[in-house]
Amino acid sequence: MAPVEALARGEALQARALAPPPGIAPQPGRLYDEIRKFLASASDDRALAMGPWDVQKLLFPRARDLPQSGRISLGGGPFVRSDGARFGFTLTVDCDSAPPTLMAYGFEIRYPAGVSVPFLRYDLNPPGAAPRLDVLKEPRCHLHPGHQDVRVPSPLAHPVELLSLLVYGP
Amino acid sequence: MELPALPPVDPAEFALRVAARPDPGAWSLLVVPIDEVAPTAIDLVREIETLEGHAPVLVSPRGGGARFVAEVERYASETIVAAGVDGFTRDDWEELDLARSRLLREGEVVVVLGPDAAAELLRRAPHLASWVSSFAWTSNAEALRAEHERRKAERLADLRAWAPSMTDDDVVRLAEQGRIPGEPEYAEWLVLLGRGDLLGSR
Repeated sequence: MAPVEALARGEALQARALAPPPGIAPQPGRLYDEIRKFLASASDDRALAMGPWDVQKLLFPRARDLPQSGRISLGGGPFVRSDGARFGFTLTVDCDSAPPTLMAYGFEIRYPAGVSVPFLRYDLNPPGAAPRLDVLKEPRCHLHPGHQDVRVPSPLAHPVELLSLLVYGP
Repeated sequence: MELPALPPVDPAEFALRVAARPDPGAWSLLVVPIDEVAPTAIDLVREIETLEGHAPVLVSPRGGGARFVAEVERYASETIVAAGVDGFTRDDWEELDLARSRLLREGEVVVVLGPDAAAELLRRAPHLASWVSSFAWTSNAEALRAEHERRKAERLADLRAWAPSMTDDDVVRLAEQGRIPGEPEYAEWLVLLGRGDLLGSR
C-alpha cells in the first residue's frame, strides 16, 4: 500500500487530469455530429480504409435515435485505418448536467500483428465505480499502453481529440 | 401509373448520397409514409448541413405548382429540401411539368413526399419524373426503428459476451449498490438497459 502522502499526490494529479476539456458540445446531437464529421473527413482523406457510408453505419445509435436528455451512450467500430489498425469507442455523457459531462469513455486501437505494442486504450471510468486499486495504480482517467494491467494517468480529453489520436496518431 | 418498387434507404445514407452527387442542379426523391414527410425533411436538412457544412433551405410549397416554381427560382443556387407537395392537385403537377425549364438551377433539389403524391408526380409530370427517376428512394421509420432495436440487442449481446460472468440484473444491482466495476463499458451497458440514472448515484 502506498504511503498516505503518495496517495494524496495521486489524488491531486487526478483532480487536475479530470478538468473538463474545452469545447464539449452543449447538445448531444452536436457532439455526435462532430464525431460523424471527423470520421467522414478521415474517410475522405483516406486515413481510413472505409467509405463514408461504411463509417457512418458503424456508429450507434443513428442520429435520429439519439436521445436529447438523460445519460446517453454512443459508440462505434471497428473502424479500419489505412494501415490496417482497427479502433472503436464507447462514451457516455450526462446531458442533464450543465454543461454536459463526460461520464465514461473507452477509446481503443488495436494494431496489426507484428507491431510491438498490441493496443492503446484511453479510458475514463464511470463515476462511483468501485475502487479496485488505489489512485496511483488506477486513476479514473488513464491510458493502457498495450497492457490491461498497466494504467498511466491521462488527461480527460474531448472525444474528437481522442479520435484524432486514434486516426492520425501512433 | 403505379409507383415502382424503390430501393430502401436510411435518411442519413440518402443525405450522404445527395451530398456526394457531382451533378449541379440534380433532383432527388425520397418517398416516405405520409406522416413521416415533415420529420424526415427536417432530418435531411440536419444531415445535409452536417455533411456540407451549411444548411439547405427547407421549403413547403403548399400553395401549389406556381408557389413551388417561385421557391425554386428564389433559392436558385442553394440546395433545397422540399416537403409539403402531398396536397398537390393534378393541375399543380401539370403546371409544374410545363414550367420545367424554370426549374433548371444550380443547387440540388430533394423532394420528400408520400407514396400517393409520388405516384401522381410520375403520372402527371412525366418530364419532372424523368429527372428524379434515377435517384428515387424510399424510407420507412418503422423499419428503421426495428433496425435500431436489432442493433441495440446486438450491442447488449456483445457486452454480455465481453463479461460472461455478469447478467443484466448483476450490472443493475451492482450500480444500485455503488459497486459497478470500473470499465467504461458498464456505463454503456446501464444506459442500454435504460438505467443510466444509476451512474454516479452513490
